[in-house]
Amino acid sequence: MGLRHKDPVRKAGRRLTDVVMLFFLSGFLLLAIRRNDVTGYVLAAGVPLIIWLGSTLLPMIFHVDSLMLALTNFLCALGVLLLYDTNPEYARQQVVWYGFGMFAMLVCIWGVRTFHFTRRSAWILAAVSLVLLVLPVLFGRETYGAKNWVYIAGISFQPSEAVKLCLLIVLARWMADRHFWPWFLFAMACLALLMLQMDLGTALLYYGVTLMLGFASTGSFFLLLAGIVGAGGAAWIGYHLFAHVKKRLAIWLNPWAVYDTFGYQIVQGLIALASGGLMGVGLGLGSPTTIPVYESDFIFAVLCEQFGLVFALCVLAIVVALIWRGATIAMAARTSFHGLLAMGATLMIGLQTFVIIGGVIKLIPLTGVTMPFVSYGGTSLLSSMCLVGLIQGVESLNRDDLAEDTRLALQAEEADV
Amino acid sequence: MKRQRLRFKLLALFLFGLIALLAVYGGYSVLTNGSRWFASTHNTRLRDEKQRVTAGDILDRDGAVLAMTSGDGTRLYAEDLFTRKAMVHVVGDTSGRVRNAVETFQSAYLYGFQASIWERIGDLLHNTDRKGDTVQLTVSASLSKALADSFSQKLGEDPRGAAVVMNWKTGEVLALVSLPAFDPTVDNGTVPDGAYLNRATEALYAPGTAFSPVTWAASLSQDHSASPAARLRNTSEAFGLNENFLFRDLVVANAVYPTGNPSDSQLALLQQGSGGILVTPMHMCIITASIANDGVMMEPRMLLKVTTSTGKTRLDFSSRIEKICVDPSVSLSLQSRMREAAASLPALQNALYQTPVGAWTGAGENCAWFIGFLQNTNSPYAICVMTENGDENAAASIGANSIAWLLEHPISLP
Repeated sequence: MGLRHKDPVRKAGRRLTDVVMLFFLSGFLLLAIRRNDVTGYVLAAGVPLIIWLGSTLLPMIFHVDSLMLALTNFLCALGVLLLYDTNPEYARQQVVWYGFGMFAMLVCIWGVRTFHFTRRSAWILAAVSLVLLVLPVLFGRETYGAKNWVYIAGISFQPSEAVKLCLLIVLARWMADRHFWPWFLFAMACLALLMLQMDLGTALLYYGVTLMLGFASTGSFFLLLAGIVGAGGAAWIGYHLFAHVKKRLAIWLNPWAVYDTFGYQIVQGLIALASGGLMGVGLGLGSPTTIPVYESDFIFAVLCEQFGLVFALCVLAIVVALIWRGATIAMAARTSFHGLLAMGATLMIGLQTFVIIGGVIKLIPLTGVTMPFVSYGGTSLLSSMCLVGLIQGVESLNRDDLAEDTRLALQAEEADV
Repeated sequence: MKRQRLRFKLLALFLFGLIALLAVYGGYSVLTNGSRWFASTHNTRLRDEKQRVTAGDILDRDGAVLAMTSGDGTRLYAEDLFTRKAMVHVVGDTSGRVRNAVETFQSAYLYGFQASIWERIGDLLHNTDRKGDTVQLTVSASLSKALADSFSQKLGEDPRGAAVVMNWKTGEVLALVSLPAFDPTVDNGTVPDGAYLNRATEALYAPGTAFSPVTWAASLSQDHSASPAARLRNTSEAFGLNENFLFRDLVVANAVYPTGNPSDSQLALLQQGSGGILVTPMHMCIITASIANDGVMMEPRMLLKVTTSTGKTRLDFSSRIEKICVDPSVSLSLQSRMREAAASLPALQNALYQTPVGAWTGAGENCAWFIGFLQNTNSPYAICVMTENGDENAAASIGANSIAWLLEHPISLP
């Protein structure tokens, strides 16, 4: 117990949790008073409670990184707050998924600690992943130009979000075992299926993460270079072969020229950014709902309008802190598999954040992925929290190993005396 | 494992770089383009806010009211019809018929979007109606009216053209007139054709022989390794052609200089300011001001001051160097040539008794130009007049009238 209190990261995490709880308590109360809405009061009590329970109970069960936990909670609760302001019904659903997400995180930590992901389990997971990715191609419905959702018995979900986790486990296993062809072919098959779904954003994410993990495991700059050249070539071919790729690029270059049709969403997003300015129009004010898909792809524009550029930069700093913690945990892992798993999850969170925010601010063409933890959507939130669960699982093992090392060192010292 | 850890570190640094790129690009975009995005006619937020906020006043540099909101919420403009018409392309109107005028481009101030969180909380606590900021412009309404009158005197009943007067030391826009104009208080039916277009900032014209100062600057260039065509293009681009200007207070259409390698005959046309060269009168005034200011281009500014409804200053005028166009030695030579040219212009003889003046006239396709400056640090004015239905003499007369007006009514410096 003495060791716990001396850990500065843990201490910072606990203090941050208190600040986060206070922030959201006041945020939800403000909106609840303004709307005179019971749901707001329930959320004002419920969201800080989930944060508190998560930050207190989880470390009691497993040794986890408190700072990472606090940062994750902040982003998730921020999503609920923004959704409550724009659409209370979405917030009600999201808070339920947030609760499930905490549980899913717990399961993932337990899974990483318990299961020895063998080569055999990697093959099984790979097969399951491919089957899941085939489902939308066969039975999916087209939404916003991509056929990446499956609707079964009234429930809709996005298989590519679940496959993210499988992809990381499978890649980490085969890469750690230096089995090049299985992971290479599996990644290519996943990409091909995503292209068939026209889900370019997720394809970009899978490609980026695979490429970078491949580099991390092999250290081959040739592989990295070949991957970049390959991506450039694919983009060039895609641009010349597919009309929709050309259209997306044209929208990106000048959305104002096609404002009435395809550029409307980006233009409204940019206007939201400009409306917020440095300090934002204030929580509960502004007109963020004028942006199409504000609750999902464009939640960052909503954030910028209400809280301003300075707060948005703070959110980016939180993502940087998450990446820093994730990479530190990956570097401290005792096995190559666990290191690659934690780094893969960190890369997935970091890249996904870059791809969606880059699209919203018109740095890169817009691809329909969600902002991790913040965007509306059960599948997206669960998958993001599971990614944190994978990293926390590795951290939990790291701490166990560290405790074991300390115990052995003490034993050796006592034996010497 | 050790090497793998090093590679993890590299990947983490790469991710940090990506996030830093987002922060830098996002911040830069919002700070440089934010006011343009906000002032867009597509901004539905603005329409909503207009229902809830009393728009602030617009004043000229002497404090004369150009626009204000009455107690019943009606937007009122300057009382005098001729002032209203002379200022309409600067001030604009509530329905945004003139693009990027103050009513739309500065709506973030006028409708209180720049209010701090404390001001908003104060409004909520005191339960007072929100009022936007008062925007004071660098423009003089009386000078603008005098310029518009001068156009009517020289060009008759249907004058078409534009004029811009700037302070070449600070970049303040002192007058901006575009004709034909219209009364912002009347409906569309009685407005003359093409009156909504701000010819000073949005319309592109061939400068013709008025482009000569830039051609001279190219011939004086020290870059002897470049071909004459490259020198002319480099010098033109140094004066801002082909450049995407992002000024803080006003939007100016991008001036065009043809790219590609011109043939000898094409180069001859380019040297005479035609062959595809297109500029706005505002840009020609900026070029003239840069020559007068020893080759230093100041950012043109139109906001003198912004004050809150409680009288606190939110923004004060600040000048900024936009770029260095040419060496001071080249600029001195251009000033000298323009002073010689001014001496031969009959319209300027009266002004020349009082102060050194540099000037040049020219004709482009379907337009005539006058550019000039007062070479006096107490009266640092640059002028550009463009007429669509008058000759060079008419343009020079309008320019001379404005110089005479400025000498009679000196404008205080900030």
